Amino acid sequence: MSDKKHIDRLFQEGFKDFEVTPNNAVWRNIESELKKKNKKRRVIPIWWRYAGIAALLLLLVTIGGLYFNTIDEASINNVVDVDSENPNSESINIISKNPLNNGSAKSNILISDNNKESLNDTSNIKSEIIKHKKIPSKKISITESSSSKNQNESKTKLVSSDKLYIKHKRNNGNNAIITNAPEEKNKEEENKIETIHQALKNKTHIANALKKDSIIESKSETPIANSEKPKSLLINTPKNNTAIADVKLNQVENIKTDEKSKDKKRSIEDALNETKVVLETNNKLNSKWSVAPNLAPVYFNKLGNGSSIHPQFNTNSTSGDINMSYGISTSYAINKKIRVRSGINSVNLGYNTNDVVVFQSVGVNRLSSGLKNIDGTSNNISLISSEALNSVAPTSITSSNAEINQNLRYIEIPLEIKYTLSDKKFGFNLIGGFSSFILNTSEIFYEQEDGSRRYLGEANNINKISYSANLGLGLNYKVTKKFDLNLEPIFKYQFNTFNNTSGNLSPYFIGVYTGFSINF
Amino acid sequence: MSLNQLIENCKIDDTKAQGELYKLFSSKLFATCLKYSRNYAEAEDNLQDAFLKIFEKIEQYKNKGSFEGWIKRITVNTVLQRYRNEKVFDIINENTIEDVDVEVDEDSVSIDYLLKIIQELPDRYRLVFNLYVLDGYSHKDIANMLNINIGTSKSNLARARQILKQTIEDYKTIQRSQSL
Repeated sequence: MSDKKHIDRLFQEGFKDFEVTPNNAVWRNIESELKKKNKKRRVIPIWWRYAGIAALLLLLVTIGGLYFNTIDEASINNVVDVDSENPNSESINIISKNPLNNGSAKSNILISDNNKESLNDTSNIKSEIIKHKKIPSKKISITESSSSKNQNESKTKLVSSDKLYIKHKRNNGNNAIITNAPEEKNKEEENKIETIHQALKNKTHIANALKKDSIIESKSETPIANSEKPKSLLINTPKNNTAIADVKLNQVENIKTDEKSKDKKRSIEDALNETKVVLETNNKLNSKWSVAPNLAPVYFNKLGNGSSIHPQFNTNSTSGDINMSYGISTSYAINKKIRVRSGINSVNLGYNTNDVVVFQSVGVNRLSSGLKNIDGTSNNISLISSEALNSVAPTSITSSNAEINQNLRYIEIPLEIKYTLSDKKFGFNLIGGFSSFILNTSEIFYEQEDGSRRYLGEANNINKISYSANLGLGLNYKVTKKFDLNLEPIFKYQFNTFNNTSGNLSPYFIGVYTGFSINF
Repeated sequence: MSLNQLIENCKIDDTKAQGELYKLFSSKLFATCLKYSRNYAEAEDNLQDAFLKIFEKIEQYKNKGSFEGWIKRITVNTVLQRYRNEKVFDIINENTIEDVDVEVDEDSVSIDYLLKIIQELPDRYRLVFNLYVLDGYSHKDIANMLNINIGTSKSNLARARQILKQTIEDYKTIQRSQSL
């Protein structure tokens, strides 16, 4: 019977001179790590720094884009309001002007026969104005541009020519007469429009200032009537022409007033509504949603030194496999610059570990039993790194230059932001985001130098769920407004892919995603 | 070549010197790794990481104190880093297990068996037991190194002893019943 002893002492004595010589492979790994250390220490941190900067930029751009976009939208809306008010009131002026000129129409028509050239001019104006009446949205731009022309031209001409003075006086006279006539006819309409005119007063005052302060003291409508007239006057300086211009305008306007006087009020409202609609649709994005099926060759490999299969392969060279990814994504445009997209892809990934020796082993070999990350390894086959071959004496080498293929199949769910740098026929975008990967299958094969390929087992150290950080460029070509062709090279750096790796294993893949997108 | 000369050569990344240094100390450090790790494969990984860290930090070694102590501390820290964040669920209150009898029969138990049962301990129990019993760290040091309370350290140690004792006794019972 032995003595009782404190458990601490049992272990202390047991481990007193405990030494175990580690496997040679450990030193080989250390040696190769040391060799690559310098390169790796420089390469990876720089890569991380760039990735960090890119991610930061993307974040700033996103936040900035969202922030400024809301401001933009607000300011755009304001502009819309202003625009839609002014043009309408101008159109109202034109309308209201028509009855004013009724009275003088007769006398002016007489003169109009004299000059055919000016008739042409004025008939142009006529057609324009008719257009204005029918299509309110166009009218706005034309009247604005013409009035601005008139302002500029009248400004310069007024200074130099006396005739113009007279002309203006005459116009005034006309207007003076006119103002009485329409008031009888269209008092009601005048009242309705009055409020809008008042809003316009500021503008008309400026117009007045530009022309003749002293002469034009009549009602607020007159400056606009004037502004139409000097235009033709300036083009054809003689008195006759200007008179004709008046006439023609009046003629045109008479026709219009006949048409419009019945439902003038309605047409104003229509104009308001229509311009609003037009302006709103212009500001809206053409298509917010798009769907894009895609197909990509993907190249899978790893950074760093490590093996997902066994530490002994850490230093073995690896070569990436080119596989395919296909899927569909849908994206939503938050604004003109930023799109958020998600989707679902099926991804096949694979890479080869080179320089593997396959041999028939009898009994249990410590190295082969070390393929702990594979379930279902066949009993009588061992794979070891050719570097570690020295440390064992294999009985029969089956193949001395084999490869281990690791194949992974994932379902990928990306969530990415696409930032538009250029939105021309050829678009240019930055893409950043992340993906979640759901493992579907993971198989390991070995391929001998004669090309025969055998199933080795299923990897048991692959996480069911893993992630990646994505960064890429997007090029697209707009075939039509609704249909784009895409080409997107994207780099995906994977996280959490393996749960029991040895060494420093950082898998990544590069995919060149091609496809088309349909916008709606 | 003296050890100091070897260290100096390692400081300038002399591959041959690094190999020599590895030959000198790998067995001792691997023993440490084996005790602190969960299994043989992880011990290998830890040894590799530890040596890489030693070669990386050897510049900072200023010939103060024993070199062996220094590299062993690095090794232990490397292992701790790997397991530090893994939580052990503390079920046992320290007071209830403070004075439990942890005497065992002094039968010869193989070192392989002792290593095996240490490795099978939950991570933190294993680390605390190693640090306190085999490497002589105080509970205060252990608490700092593992980022736990001193009480927790004591409790973990008592629990580790209890598990080890129970395991050994069960093992002996089985052996005895088999030999009968």
